[in-house]
Amino acid sequence: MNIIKALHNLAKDINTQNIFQVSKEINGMYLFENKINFTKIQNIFIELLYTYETIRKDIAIEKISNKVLEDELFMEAYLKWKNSDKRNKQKEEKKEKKTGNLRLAPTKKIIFPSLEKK
Amino acid sequence: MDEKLNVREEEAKKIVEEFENKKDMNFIESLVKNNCYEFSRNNKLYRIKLLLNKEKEQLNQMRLAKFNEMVQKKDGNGNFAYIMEKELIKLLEQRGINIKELDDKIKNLEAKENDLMLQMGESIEKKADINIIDGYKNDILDVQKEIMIVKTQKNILLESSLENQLLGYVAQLACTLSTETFNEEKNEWEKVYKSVNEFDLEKDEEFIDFITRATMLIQFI
Repeated sequence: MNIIKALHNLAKDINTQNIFQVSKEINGMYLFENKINFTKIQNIFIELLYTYETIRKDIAIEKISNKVLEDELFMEAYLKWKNSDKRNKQKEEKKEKKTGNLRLAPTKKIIFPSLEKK
Repeated sequence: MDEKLNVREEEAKKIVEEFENKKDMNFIESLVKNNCYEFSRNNKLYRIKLLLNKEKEQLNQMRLAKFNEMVQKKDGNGNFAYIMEKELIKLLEQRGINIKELDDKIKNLEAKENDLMLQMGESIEKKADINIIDGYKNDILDVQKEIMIVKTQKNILLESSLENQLLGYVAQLACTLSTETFNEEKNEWEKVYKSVNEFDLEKDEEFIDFITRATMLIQFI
């Protein structure tokens, strides 16, 4: 059996994700029976929980389709692309293009209230 | 009639497969839940636990001692019994096998895999047609297979090196240190094997296979 695949299945499970969310919000609720000395398998699992949380958020805002959840290779590729320099460069270029088109229009002078107490 | 039998056989296979998957999932769940895994066998309670710092130190000391022993050991002809990885690479080179070439091949394939992954990730974000995404997936799987083949080739060629032989010993050592049984009379956990030699003499191969697998997953994965 592929251990990593099994960990993926466990981490993306909606029940596991719910427990993960609750454990982050409620003090004293733990994911594991041991509170210290985590094994590598537990560390990988925590990483995967955060990863699937990100993926589910991106699906919720319709940035990607939920097809990504069907295959861990899709998920891995999407995250690799999301964090890549190439994508960041593309994004920056888009931003620059947008700001380049911005034209300032003359308006009335705005006087902001002073923060200092009189 | 034959068709019916085939369908039933297929169904039975599916049920067994599902059952096995469920069993495996339960095993993985238990490994995730805690840093030690408890199980019973022949009315005895056992556990495989994550090594304590003291035990990790012990493992390291024993590993170094074994390394020193292996590096000095000579065979009946007065030659060193074990060969270091670097020497083995040179020896293989004389026989026309270039390990560096294999390393370069792995590097190139990994770079190719990375490029394909980025392209697939980009098409996922741009919500490209599923056929395009599946195309990338198949290409990536092919590259991953190639990487696996080359890595296996390399591992087989370097298997006899002192470093790799030492890894086998470390795995046995880790099993010896992490496998414990509950002593009801003393009401405490105690080691199943007092030494690696004792572990080596264990005849129950199914048990050895299981504890080796669980130890590797808990200690190293």
